[in-house]
Amino acid sequence: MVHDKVESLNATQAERVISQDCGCLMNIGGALEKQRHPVRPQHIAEFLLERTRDDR
Amino acid sequence: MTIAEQSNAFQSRVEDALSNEQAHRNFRSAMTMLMEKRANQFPNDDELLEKRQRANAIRAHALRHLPQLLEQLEQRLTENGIQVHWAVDGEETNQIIHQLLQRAGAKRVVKGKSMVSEEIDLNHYLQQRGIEILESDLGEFIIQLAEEPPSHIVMPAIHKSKKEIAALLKQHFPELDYSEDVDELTQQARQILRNRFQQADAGITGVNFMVAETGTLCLVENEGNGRMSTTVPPLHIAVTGIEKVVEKLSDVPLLLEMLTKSATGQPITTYFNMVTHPRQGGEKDGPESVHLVLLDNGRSRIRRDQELLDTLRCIRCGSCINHCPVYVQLGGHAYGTTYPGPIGTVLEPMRLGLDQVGVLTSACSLCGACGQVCPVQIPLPKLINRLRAESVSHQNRGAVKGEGSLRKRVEVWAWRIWKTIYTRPALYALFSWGATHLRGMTPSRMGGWSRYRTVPKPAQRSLAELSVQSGFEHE
Repeated sequence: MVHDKVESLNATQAERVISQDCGCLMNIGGALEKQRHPVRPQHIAEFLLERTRDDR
Repeated sequence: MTIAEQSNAFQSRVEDALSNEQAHRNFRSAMTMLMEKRANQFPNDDELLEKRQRANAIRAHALRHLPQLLEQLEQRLTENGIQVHWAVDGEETNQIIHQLLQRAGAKRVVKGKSMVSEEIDLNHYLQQRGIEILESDLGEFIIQLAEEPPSHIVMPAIHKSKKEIAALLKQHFPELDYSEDVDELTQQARQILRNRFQQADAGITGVNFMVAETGTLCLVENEGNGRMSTTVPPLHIAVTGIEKVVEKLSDVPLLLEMLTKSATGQPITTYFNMVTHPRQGGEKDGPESVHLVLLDNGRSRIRRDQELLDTLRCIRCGSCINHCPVYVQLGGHAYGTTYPGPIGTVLEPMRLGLDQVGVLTSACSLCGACGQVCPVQIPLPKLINRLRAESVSHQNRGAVKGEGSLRKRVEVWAWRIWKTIYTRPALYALFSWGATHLRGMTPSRMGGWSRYRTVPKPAQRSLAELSVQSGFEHE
């Protein structure tokens, strides 16, 4: 199942993957890392923190 | 089968399924197409919900009044000239059907598609007793030639590619020209079947809905083989489960609509048969006698359980299967049971016991898709979860055999240790200090997980530690 998820992610050419579900982050993140994929998924809270800290 | 044999057999079927790339692609594209076709038939969410609620109510009502409706059904059918037979289990059903065939001197039988007949393994029973039996639904015909069980309850040969089917036909009917053209293949099968319909001594079919009010047997199909099986041979035997009854004829249109739209995304099937009586004086066709065999096979036991009762509402559309992310990976054969997918994961442990097929309850990611698409709102995710819990713990509900049979000592201890740590703050603090500060010691392999993923590492510092560092007060 995770194989199909990574394939679908690749098809979208997304630069970021964000989820609120820690299980999904571990599952999909682990598979991306195993495949040496450049994208690392991020928790929504982390993403928001990063955005609000940025001065952009 | 011991518990270890059960899990090993399941594991190896799963490995087989996952290693078959071609089959995986076939399932993926077929299921995607079915999901899209269904979605197109239900463009309005509010309307869909309202229809599902009404269909649910019709089925729930029928199940609440099941004994009365069955009695009424028997009375009406008898008045109409259709003989009703009751069977407690598969063995008895097979015996009754065999006797009916014997009494009529029937040697050659054509069959319409029937999952109940798969459930009771009718074909083998009759073949062992010298009766020639031919599946007339194209998908069932193909898998009968291949000597395989169905891999889907609506599309039994969905796992077969065009090439495989072409080879199969050529192997069994060498006189045919080899072709991989779908229309040509269908035409060839049609010619073979057409002759057999004319020669058949009896037709056996399933039933989709039985109407108590009028004594009518409804049969949904696309190929006309059901129509042929119920009208051409002199004897028609219908076989189905007792739960298929509905009260009124006016209940049928909505259920039919929900069935065809949910199953194959068709607004209506090509054929819809309503059998109400055998051939009557002055009529030129139809069977001389019609019989209905009603099978219990554990359904009354299920009906007594307030939660499991919901599964009897099922109209066998297969929509839960089409939307299941586990089914799409594995296909139907990996389940090793008559009914695969979410509905099979619930029905089969109830029928065969958790000690036999309880491992199926783990073939679910609890995504909930099945529950959302079910046209009669069976809470499949909740029921799968319940059976999963029952397979590892004794809850003494008694409705399903083999409670607690999948309980593993090592899992029990793992949870006990976890509970001890989690309920003692000092121990927990020590544990999380260890997990974070000694994270270098995390094993680099973790069974099935690390086959496709890297092993997750604990963070460098726990959240509690970080918050203290950032100056948060305790609590």
